[in-house]
Amino acid sequence: MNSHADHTTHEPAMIDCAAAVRMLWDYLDGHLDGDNDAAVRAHVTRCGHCFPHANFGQLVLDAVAEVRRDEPELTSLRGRVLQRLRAEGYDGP
Amino acid sequence: MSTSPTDREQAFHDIALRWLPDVTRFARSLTRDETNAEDLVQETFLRAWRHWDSFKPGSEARAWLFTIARNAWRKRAPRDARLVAVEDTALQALADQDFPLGAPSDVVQALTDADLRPAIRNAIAQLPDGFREVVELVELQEMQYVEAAEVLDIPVGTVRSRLFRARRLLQTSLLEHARDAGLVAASPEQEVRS
Repeated sequence: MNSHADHTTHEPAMIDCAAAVRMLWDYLDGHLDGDNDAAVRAHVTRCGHCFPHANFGQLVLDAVAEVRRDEPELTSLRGRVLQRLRAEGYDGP
Repeated sequence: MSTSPTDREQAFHDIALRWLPDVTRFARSLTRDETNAEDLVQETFLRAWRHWDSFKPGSEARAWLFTIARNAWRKRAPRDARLVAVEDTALQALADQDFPLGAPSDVVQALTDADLRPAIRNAIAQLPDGFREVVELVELQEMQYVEAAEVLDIPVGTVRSRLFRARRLLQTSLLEHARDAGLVAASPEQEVRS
Protein backbone atom coordinates (compact mmCIF):
# COMPACT_ATOMS: atom_id res chain seq x y z
CA MET A 1 0.00 0.00 0.00
CA ASN A 2 1.23 3.43 -0.83
CA SER A 3 2.34 5.08 2.39
CA HIS A 4 1.24 8.46 1.04
CA ALA A 5 -2.31 7.33 0.31
CA ASP A 6 -3.77 8.90 3.44
CA HIS A 7 -2.08 12.24 2.96
CA THR A 8 -3.98 15.10 1.40
CA THR A 9 -2.03 17.08 -1.12
CA HIS A 10 -1.78 20.60 0.26
CA GLU A 11 -0.82 23.24 -2.22
CA PRO A 12 0.09 26.67 -0.82
CA ALA A 13 -2.70 29.21 -1.15
CA MET A 14 -2.34 31.59 -4.06
CA ILE A 15 -1.80 35.15 -2.89
CA ASP A 16 -1.23 38.35 -4.83
CA CYS A 17 1.73 40.71 -4.66
CA ALA A 18 0.06 43.07 -2.20
CA ALA A 19 -0.56 40.25 0.28
CA ALA A 20 2.94 38.87 -0.18
CA VAL A 21 4.61 42.22 0.38
CA ARG A 22 2.38 42.92 3.38
CA MET A 23 3.57 39.71 5.03
CA LEU A 24 7.14 39.87 3.79
CA TRP A 25 8.90 41.06 6.96
CA ASP A 26 6.99 38.57 9.08
CA TYR A 27 7.92 35.90 6.54
CA LEU A 28 11.61 36.82 6.64
CA ASP A 29 11.48 36.89 10.45
CA GLY A 30 9.95 33.41 10.50
CA HIS A 31 6.88 34.72 12.29
CA LEU A 32 4.23 33.38 9.91
CA ASP A 33 2.22 30.26 10.54
CA GLY A 34 2.64 27.30 8.23
CA ASP A 35 -0.03 28.17 5.64
CA ASN A 36 0.93 31.82 5.32
CA ASP A 37 4.61 30.97 5.31
CA ALA A 38 4.09 28.51 2.48
CA ALA A 39 1.93 30.96 0.55
CA VAL A 40 4.47 33.77 0.73
CA ARG A 41 7.33 31.44 -0.06
CA ALA A 42 5.52 30.09 -3.12
CA HIS A 43 4.63 33.58 -4.33
CA VAL A 44 8.06 35.10 -3.79
CA THR A 45 9.78 32.20 -5.52
CA ARG A 46 7.69 32.65 -8.64
CA CYS A 47 7.09 36.39 -8.75
CA GLY A 48 9.59 38.60 -10.54
CA HIS A 49 8.20 41.67 -8.75
CA CYS A 50 8.38 40.32 -5.20
CA PHE A 51 11.58 38.30 -5.48
CA PRO A 52 13.84 41.39 -5.31
CA HIS A 53 11.82 42.71 -2.37
CA ALA A 54 12.52 39.50 -0.50
CA ASN A 55 16.17 39.44 -1.49
CA PHE A 56 16.77 42.99 -0.40
CA GLY A 57 14.82 42.50 2.81
CA GLN A 58 16.91 39.49 3.69
CA LEU A 59 20.09 41.40 2.88
CA VAL A 60 19.16 44.11 5.39
CA LEU A 61 18.38 41.55 8.07
CA ASP A 62 21.70 39.81 7.42
CA ALA A 63 23.58 43.11 7.57
CA VAL A 64 21.94 44.03 10.88
CA ALA A 65 22.76 40.58 12.25
CA GLU A 66 26.42 41.17 11.47
CA VAL A 67 26.59 44.12 13.84
CA ARG A 68 24.52 42.38 16.51
CA ARG A 69 27.49 40.97 18.31
CA ASP A 70 29.58 44.12 18.41
CA GLU A 71 31.07 44.01 21.88
CA PRO A 72 31.63 47.37 23.54
CA GLU A 73 34.97 47.91 25.29
CA LEU A 74 34.03 47.79 28.94
CA THR A 75 37.09 47.44 31.12
CA SER A 76 37.25 51.05 32.29
CA LEU A 77 33.48 51.47 32.40
CA ARG A 78 33.07 48.38 34.54
CA GLY A 79 35.59 49.86 36.97
CA ARG A 80 33.69 53.13 37.16
CA VAL A 81 30.38 51.34 37.70
CA LEU A 82 31.85 49.30 40.54
CA GLN A 83 33.37 52.44 42.05
CA ARG A 84 29.97 54.14 42.11
CA LEU A 85 28.33 51.02 43.53
CA ARG A 86 30.93 50.70 46.30
CA ALA A 87 30.28 54.27 47.31
CA GLU A 88 26.70 53.08 47.86
CA GLY A 89 27.71 50.15 50.01
CA TYR A 90 28.10 47.41 47.41
CA ASP A 91 31.02 45.19 48.28
CA GLY A 92 30.46 42.33 45.91
CA PRO A 93 32.66 40.95 43.17
CA MET B 1 12.72 37.80 51.95
CA SER B 2 15.70 37.95 54.28
CA THR B 3 19.15 37.71 52.76
CA SER B 4 22.53 38.55 54.09
CA PRO B 5 24.35 41.47 52.49
CA THR B 6 26.73 39.04 50.85
CA ASP B 7 23.89 37.13 49.23
CA ARG B 8 22.38 40.39 48.05
CA GLU B 9 25.66 41.53 46.53
CA GLN B 10 26.32 38.19 44.95
CA ALA B 11 22.85 38.12 43.44
CA PHE B 12 23.28 41.65 42.09
CA HIS B 13 26.58 40.65 40.56
CA ASP B 14 25.25 37.44 39.03
CA ILE B 15 21.88 38.72 37.86
CA ALA B 16 22.33 42.43 37.14
CA LEU B 17 25.98 43.21 36.45
CA ARG B 18 26.21 40.44 33.89
CA TRP B 19 24.12 42.63 31.60
CA LEU B 20 26.64 45.48 31.58
CA PRO B 21 27.52 44.98 27.87
CA ASP B 22 23.86 44.99 26.84
CA VAL B 23 23.00 47.98 29.01
CA THR B 24 25.98 49.82 27.55
CA ARG B 25 24.84 49.14 24.00
CA PHE B 26 21.33 50.24 24.86
CA ALA B 27 22.62 53.40 26.57
CA ARG B 28 24.69 54.25 23.50
CA SER B 29 21.62 53.79 21.38
CA LEU B 30 19.59 56.10 23.61
CA THR B 31 22.16 58.83 23.98
CA ARG B 32 24.12 58.62 20.72
CA ASP B 33 26.99 60.01 22.75
CA GLU B 34 29.76 58.05 24.44
CA THR B 35 30.10 60.30 27.49
CA ASN B 36 26.37 60.46 28.14
CA ALA B 37 26.11 56.71 27.57
CA GLU B 38 28.74 55.95 30.20
CA ASP B 39 27.08 58.30 32.67
CA LEU B 40 23.75 56.64 31.97
CA VAL B 41 25.17 53.15 32.49
CA GLN B 42 26.56 54.16 35.86
CA GLU B 43 23.30 55.78 36.86
CA THR B 44 21.35 52.73 35.74
CA PHE B 45 23.32 50.30 37.88
CA LEU B 46 23.32 52.70 40.79
CA ARG B 47 19.52 52.93 40.65
CA ALA B 48 19.27 49.18 40.18
CA TRP B 49 21.40 48.58 43.27
CA ARG B 50 19.38 51.02 45.35
CA HIS B 51 16.15 49.33 44.29
CA TRP B 52 17.45 45.78 44.09
CA ASP B 53 15.01 44.61 46.71
CA SER B 54 12.16 45.47 44.34
CA PHE B 55 13.51 43.21 41.62
CA LYS B 56 11.47 40.05 41.36
CA PRO B 57 13.71 36.96 41.27
CA GLY B 58 13.11 34.99 38.12
CA SER B 59 11.95 37.96 36.09
CA GLU B 60 13.84 39.37 33.16
CA ALA B 61 16.69 41.39 34.67
CA ARG B 62 17.85 42.77 31.34
CA ALA B 63 14.44 44.26 30.56
CA TRP B 64 14.26 45.66 34.10
CA LEU B 65 17.64 47.35 33.64
CA PHE B 66 16.68 48.70 30.22
CA THR B 67 13.53 50.20 31.72
CA ILE B 68 15.59 51.89 34.44
CA ALA B 69 18.02 53.19 31.81
CA ARG B 70 15.29 54.53 29.58
CA ASN B 71 13.45 56.22 32.45
CA ALA B 72 16.69 57.76 33.69
CA TRP B 73 17.51 59.04 30.23
CA ARG B 74 14.06 60.54 29.77
CA LYS B 75 14.44 62.43 33.03
CA ARG B 76 17.89 63.81 32.36
CA ALA B 77 18.02 64.36 28.61
CA PRO B 78 17.06 67.76 27.27
CA ARG B 79 13.72 67.54 25.58
CA ASP B 80 15.11 68.77 22.28
CA ALA B 81 17.81 66.10 22.36
CA ARG B 82 15.24 63.37 22.83
CA LEU B 83 13.12 64.63 20.01
CA VAL B 84 15.89 65.07 17.49
CA ALA B 85 14.91 63.95 14.01
CA VAL B 86 11.46 62.81 15.07
CA GLU B 87 9.93 65.79 13.35
CA ASP B 88 11.74 65.13 10.11
CA THR B 89 8.63 64.86 7.99
CA ALA B 90 10.42 63.67 4.88
CA LEU B 91 11.96 60.81 6.84
CA GLN B 92 8.65 59.97 8.44
CA ALA B 93 6.90 59.95 5.09
CA LEU B 94 9.49 57.60 3.69
CA ALA B 95 9.22 55.32 6.68
CA ASP B 96 5.45 55.37 6.56
CA GLN B 97 5.35 53.69 3.18
CA ASP B 98 4.43 50.20 4.22
CA PHE B 99 6.13 48.21 1.51
CA PRO B 100 9.77 47.19 1.59
CA LEU B 101 12.13 48.28 -1.12
CA GLY B 102 13.24 45.98 -3.84
CA ALA B 103 16.61 46.32 -5.53
CA PRO B 104 18.00 45.01 -8.78
CA SER B 105 19.92 41.79 -8.39
CA ASP B 106 23.23 43.45 -9.24
CA VAL B 107 22.75 45.96 -6.41
CA VAL B 108 21.90 43.20 -3.97
CA GLN B 109 24.92 41.22 -5.15
CA ALA B 110 27.23 44.25 -4.79
CA LEU B 111 25.92 44.89 -1.28
CA THR B 112 26.16 41.23 -0.36
CA ASP B 113 29.83 41.21 -1.29
CA ALA B 114 30.62 44.42 0.63
CA ASP B 115 31.34 44.90 4.32
CA LEU B 116 28.14 46.64 5.33
CA ARG B 117 28.79 46.85 9.06
CA PRO B 118 29.99 50.48 9.10
CA ALA B 119 27.11 51.51 6.85
CA ILE B 120 24.55 49.70 8.98
CA ARG B 121 25.95 51.10 12.22
CA ASN B 122 25.75 54.58 10.75
CA ALA B 123 22.27 54.01 9.37
CA ILE B 124 20.99 52.77 12.73
CA ALA B 125 22.55 55.75 14.49
CA GLN B 126 20.73 58.09 12.12
CA LEU B 127 17.30 56.58 12.72
CA PRO B 128 14.72 58.69 14.55
CA ASP B 129 14.73 57.88 18.26
CA GLY B 130 11.52 55.87 18.36
CA PHE B 131 12.68 53.67 15.51
CA ARG B 132 16.23 53.32 16.75
CA GLU B 133 15.08 52.13 20.17
CA VAL B 134 13.03 49.36 18.59
CA VAL B 135 15.84 48.29 16.26
CA GLU B 136 18.22 48.24 19.19
CA LEU B 137 15.96 46.08 21.35
CA VAL B 138 14.50 43.72 18.75
CA GLU B 139 17.26 43.44 16.16
CA LEU B 140 20.41 43.95 18.17
CA GLN B 141 19.39 42.77 21.64
CA GLU B 142 17.13 40.06 20.17
CA MET B 143 14.19 40.83 22.45
CA GLN B 144 10.72 39.55 21.68
CA TYR B 145 8.22 42.20 20.58
CA VAL B 146 6.39 41.89 23.88
CA GLU B 147 9.57 42.44 25.90
CA ALA B 148 10.51 45.49 23.84
CA ALA B 149 6.99 46.83 24.24
CA GLU B 150 7.29 46.57 28.02
CA VAL B 151 10.65 48.36 28.08
CA LEU B 152 9.46 51.13 25.79
CA ASP B 153 5.97 51.30 27.33
CA ILE B 154 4.26 51.11 23.95
CA PRO B 155 1.82 48.59 22.43
CA VAL B 156 3.25 45.48 20.78
CA GLY B 157 1.73 46.55 17.48
CA THR B 158 3.66 49.81 17.65
CA VAL B 159 6.89 47.89 18.15
CA ARG B 160 6.14 45.87 15.04
CA SER B 161 5.18 48.84 12.88
CA ARG B 162 8.16 50.91 14.00
CA LEU B 163 10.48 48.00 13.32
CA PHE B 164 9.19 47.52 9.79
CA ARG B 165 9.36 51.25 9.07
CA ALA B 166 12.88 51.41 10.48
CA ARG B 167 13.92 48.57 8.23
CA ARG B 168 12.67 50.52 5.27
CA LEU B 169 14.85 53.46 6.28
CA LEU B 170 17.81 51.11 6.66
CA GLN B 171 17.17 49.81 3.16
CA THR B 172 17.15 53.34 1.83
CA SER B 173 20.41 54.10 3.63
CA LEU B 174 22.03 50.99 2.19
CA LEU B 175 21.00 51.98 -1.31
CA GLU B 176 22.50 55.41 -0.77
CA HIS B 177 25.63 53.77 0.58
CA ALA B 178 25.84 51.58 -2.52
CA ARG B 179 25.59 54.63 -4.72
CA ASP B 180 28.05 56.74 -2.71
CA ALA B 181 30.56 53.90 -2.50
CA GLY B 182 30.41 53.36 -6.22
CA LEU B 183 29.05 49.85 -5.79
CA VAL B 184 26.38 50.67 -8.35
CA ALA B 185 26.74 52.96 -11.31
CA ALA B 186 23.46 54.81 -11.30
CA SER B 187 21.24 56.34 -8.65
CA PRO B 188 19.51 53.26 -7.28
CA GLU B 189 16.42 55.12 -6.13
CA GLN B 190 15.56 55.90 -9.69
CA GLU B 191 15.71 52.25 -10.62
CA VAL B 192 14.23 50.44 -7.72
CA ARG B 193 11.13 52.32 -6.62
CA SER B 194 8.33 49.85 -6.95
